[in-house]
Amino acid sequence: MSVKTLIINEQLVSAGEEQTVLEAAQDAGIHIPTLCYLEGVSAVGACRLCLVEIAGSHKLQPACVTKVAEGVEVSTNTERLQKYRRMIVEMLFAEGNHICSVCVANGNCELQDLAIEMGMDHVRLEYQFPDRHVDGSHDRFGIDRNRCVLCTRCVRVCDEIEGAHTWDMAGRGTNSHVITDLNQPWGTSQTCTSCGKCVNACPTGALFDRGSSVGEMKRDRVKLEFLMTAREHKQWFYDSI
Amino acid sequence: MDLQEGVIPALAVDTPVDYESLTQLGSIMGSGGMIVMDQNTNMVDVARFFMEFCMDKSCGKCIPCRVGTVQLHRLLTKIRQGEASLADLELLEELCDMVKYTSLCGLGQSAPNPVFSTLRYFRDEYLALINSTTQ
Ligand code: SF4
Ligand code: SF4
Ligand code: SF4
Ligand code: FES
Repeated sequence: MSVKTLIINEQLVSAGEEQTVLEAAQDAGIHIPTLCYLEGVSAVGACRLCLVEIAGSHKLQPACVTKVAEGVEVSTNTERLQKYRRMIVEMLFAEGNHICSVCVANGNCELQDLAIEMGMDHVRLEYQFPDRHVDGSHDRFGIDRNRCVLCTRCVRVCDEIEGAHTWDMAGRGTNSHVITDLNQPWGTSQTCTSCGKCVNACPTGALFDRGSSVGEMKRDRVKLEFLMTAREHKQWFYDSI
Repeated sequence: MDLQEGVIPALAVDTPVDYESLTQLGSIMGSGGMIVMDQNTNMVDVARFFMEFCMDKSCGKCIPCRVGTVQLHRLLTKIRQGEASLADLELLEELCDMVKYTSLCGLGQSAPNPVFSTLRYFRDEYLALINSTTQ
């Protein structure tokens, strides 16, 4: 494997040629905000939070799906990027129904963390107040689509790690939503193995263990990482939260 | 219907219909289709019409296009109804810039074009609709 050297925020960084800009930055201790990215499953470049500037190109590139290249100069935190990222987070708060004070994920939510990181203290956009479906038919888990940011992490984890492919996207544009099986109640799903991987992958309070109360829904992401290192590298490290 | 609409004012009527000249005017060749409008058409309506088209056609994968087109459509509606302030107009321009540069595919990247080009050539029609009594 050949090594590429690039510059991230004026810092020289070495990376394997197969690595993405995001992975190279993370290895060098440089933080780039993400939402749809989840280690261990394929990257989709959908949320656009990880967009970075590359010198000489007027197009912004999503770090999670952009491979490193020799000599490129990457900026990850310019004023322009900060402004765009703040607007992305504002959009998510305006699009769904997020009332953190009564949410199972309050205090353990990646969307909330992003809002704090971007300094988003208010939303300038008009709230859309969608009327989205809540499904409590599963014995162990529930979904409140009002808090879903459509990151598709549940879809990818269920398909790529569990191999069940219970989740999918339906609808388009502002009507996009996640469904189980062919839009049947989750509790009647023939494919769901009740493994709970989707619940552990969800960044928000959309997917939760039934019976969790406000702020109680903590995720065990380590479990997903453990499975991936076990499968890919035949190494068994488990360091639970 | 040419989705990547860029509106061109009457004074550019002699522009040759080719890629370079149209791009220079902030429009695009597309499939070569053309719509001619007279002074009875309100330019905010035109922008709103195209935004509705993009909003309906957005696939919903990326956030800037999925939410941005809805928000832009709402702002254009607010302006058209005479309920918008100058701050709304500013937000409209800020959103257009963000949606253009952060969307994943050509649909989102070009969705703000009709707003840009109507603002560029017919800003007075927007300003005439701004309600100076709203905050
Ligand atoms: S999902 Fe996150 S942002 Fe949304 S209400 Fe719950 S805690 Fe708040
Ligand atoms: S519990 Fe497991 S099998 Fe069921 S939907 Fe979630 S990830 Fe898929
Ligand atoms: S349910 Fe959770 S993991 Fe699935 S798309 Fe929505 S926010 Fe993402
Ligand atoms: S993390 Fe890269 S686009 Fe979402």
